[in-house]
Amino acid sequence: MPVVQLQYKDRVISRHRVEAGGSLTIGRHPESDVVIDNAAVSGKHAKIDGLEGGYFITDLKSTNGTFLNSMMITTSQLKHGDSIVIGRHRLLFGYAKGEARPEKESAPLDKTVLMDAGRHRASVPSADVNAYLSVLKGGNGEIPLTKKVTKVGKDPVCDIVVAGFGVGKVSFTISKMPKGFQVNYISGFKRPRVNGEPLKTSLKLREFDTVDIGATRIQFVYRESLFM
Amino acid sequence: MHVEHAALTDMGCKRSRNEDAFFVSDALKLYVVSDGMGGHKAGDVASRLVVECMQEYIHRATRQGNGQESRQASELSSQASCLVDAIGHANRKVWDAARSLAACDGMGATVSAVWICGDTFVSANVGDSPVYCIHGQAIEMVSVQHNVPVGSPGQERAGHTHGLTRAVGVKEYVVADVCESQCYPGDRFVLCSDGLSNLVSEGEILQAVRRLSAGDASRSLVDLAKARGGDDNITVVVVTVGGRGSVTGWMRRVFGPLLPGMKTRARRGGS
Repeated sequence: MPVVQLQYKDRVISRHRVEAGGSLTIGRHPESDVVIDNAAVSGKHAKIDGLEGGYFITDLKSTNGTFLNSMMITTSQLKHGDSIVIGRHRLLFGYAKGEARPEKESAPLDKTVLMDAGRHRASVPSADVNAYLSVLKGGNGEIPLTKKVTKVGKDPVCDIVVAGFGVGKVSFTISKMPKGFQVNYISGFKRPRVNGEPLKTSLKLREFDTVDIGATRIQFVYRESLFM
Repeated sequence: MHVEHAALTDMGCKRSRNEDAFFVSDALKLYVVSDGMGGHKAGDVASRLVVECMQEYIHRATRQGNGQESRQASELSSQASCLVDAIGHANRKVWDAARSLAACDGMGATVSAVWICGDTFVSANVGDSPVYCIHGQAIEMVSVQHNVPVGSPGQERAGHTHGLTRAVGVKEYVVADVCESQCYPGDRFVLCSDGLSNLVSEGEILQAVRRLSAGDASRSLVDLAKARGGDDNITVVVVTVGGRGSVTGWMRRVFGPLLPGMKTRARRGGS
């Protein structure tokens, strides 16, 4: 059974076994098999799978990437002595003495790798699942903020249709920025009110901020996913 | 909305050629900065190819006008997906060129683009050339940096890539990060290469852009980066939204409430 050694600055922190047919998850999340508690490491950062043709490292769409022998990789087969770098930590992969190694260590397995990609996509949660608008008044329900721009207004093309005198066709939009969400006033002489204050142009949204438009009150809920 | 720009590129103090390229057009309202991967062969070829392809693609798309509503199902607006497609197109061209010409083998570039469409903007990027949006007193990076923070282990041996995790033209397909939002009269956008952003902080960019005209701001930012060593090519594009119309907009906002007739006009004008 091959062993993965977690190192930090040449100091060995822990050793983990990878079983054939099993997998080893690596990340900041405490339920990972190899926990690396460092801000540079994503919740679910990478994993090692023991498949039929050998052992494979897969990056789980991590923020800062996974490096195999200094090369950034998404999926790659592991050879004895390979060094995986995640943040400032290093993982050394090696087979035990006398252990049978796969004959071809050159990743001939298109099929397996593809399957793997599909599986990992399913296991990577989307960053936006937990950001949504909750309708508190004038309706009910939750609208997940999955689009880059979510429109709110009178027009039926809007993602949230709101009635009311003076409400614009598109009254405001919520746009997804690299760092959080932003509410933007667009049109209509009745301006949306964010936490009671009329919205002049645009504003960053914080969790539990409320937006009133017409008779509708919407609350912004955003929880950072554990796995990101 | 009326849009103005100022653009400036400088070789810097250490490099012997300029591998940055930019394209600006107030007619298309498209602004693109591309930074060729330094140390690689033909970084300048790649960056030039990127901006040419972007320009060509957007120009074609705006002239044809509508292949638009077909994309309703995607999470992006038609303009945003058009800009992403333009980057994909540029990636294809650079990738093909890199494989067909031995002298260009392995070339790549970053790309950062801002496209003003009506009263919204779309920004898309690949690589580490940042795009800043300045709204009121605040500056915000609307691009996503595809690089490895300086000093992390992955960079040690792969130093010549500058720790980029994504670039245009190095793989068959590329995924761009997109940001789209509303822009208001008076907002400014700054696109630059990492030759500037590595040496000048966000706060300093904000100060320069708020105090000075677009032209003076870009000049002073380039000078500042050069004074601090200028070890890479430096490119700055400053885009001002609603540049000329902003004075009347401002007058309306101040005097509007006093004059009922003007008030309604201001509202119509503003919407």
